[in-house]
Amino acid sequence: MIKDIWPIIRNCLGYADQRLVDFAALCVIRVIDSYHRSHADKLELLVDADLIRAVNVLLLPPGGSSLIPAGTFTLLVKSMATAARSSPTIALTLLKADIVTTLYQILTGVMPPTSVSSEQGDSASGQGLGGGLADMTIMQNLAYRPKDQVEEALTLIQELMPPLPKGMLSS
Amino acid sequence: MAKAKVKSERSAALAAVVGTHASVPDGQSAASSRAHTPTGGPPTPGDDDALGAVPPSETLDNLPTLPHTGLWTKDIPADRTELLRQHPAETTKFINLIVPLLIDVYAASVSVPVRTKSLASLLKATAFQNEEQLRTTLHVGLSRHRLHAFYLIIYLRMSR
Repeated sequence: MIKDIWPIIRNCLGYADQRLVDFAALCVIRVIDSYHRSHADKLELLVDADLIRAVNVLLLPPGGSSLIPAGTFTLLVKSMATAARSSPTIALTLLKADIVTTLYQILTGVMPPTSVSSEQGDSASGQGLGGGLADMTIMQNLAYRPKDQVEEALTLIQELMPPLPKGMLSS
Repeated sequence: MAKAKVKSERSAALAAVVGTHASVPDGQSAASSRAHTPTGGPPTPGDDDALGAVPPSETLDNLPTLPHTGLWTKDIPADRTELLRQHPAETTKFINLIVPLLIDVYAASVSVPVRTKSLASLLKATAFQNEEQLRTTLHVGLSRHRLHAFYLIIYLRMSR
């Protein structure tokens, strides 16, 4: 039933009108929240690469928060975490859709370094400079971001990470 | 018998979704062995092969709603680790970018939930990677003082 409506809602996420985008995002959030416990497999069908890309575009410029109010932003990230928890396939799709960039920007406010070099000599010094710069920006950015968003971003990171071997994490 | 068949259908559907990444015979045999253990009534291998041929959307539409069994949730962690190991490119990129962030977040924050979550994610990342990958992550991704911060964090947590 929802499958027919789903592409329409997904298109709504791309519009410029603020309230429309807000309501479409709330709709997506409620669908994910209600499906993730009982019908995890149907959720996998719904939350596919297209939807994740659309959500990513919404979240990405943290000034795309001109489109979404802060509360909805938080709930959206939280529902991404719920979806990733309920199904490994969704977690992999999230990783493939380059949500790393989005998370990096949420936590730091700058773009992640695009050069991935495996040599130790050059990259160590380059990363040292970039690392020092990132420190200050991280602290400033963390101070200005609402606390909920930082917590939800960390929850999403935690869900995306591989699970621990059995019996490790007690608390 | 009907219940066993439905349960094996559901495991085959999950394996079919995961099996697009993994090798199909392994996923299906694992699914059939998983389906064997709780019920005791063995569905035939021919049964599973026929179900594997059905596209996942059809099987999912035909399934009635099953309650989540303990077996179902226990399978998911094993699948997840394997799934992530089969895609090392995205996983290592993710971990290499995020681990320095997590160290800084831990060092910069005061609120306990934030610190707990960042530490848990750090723990997961280090537990997942083998020695060679860890070396790459720690040396390429971290500047010198951040490396010291990382060691300090580990030492403090272990001494507590």
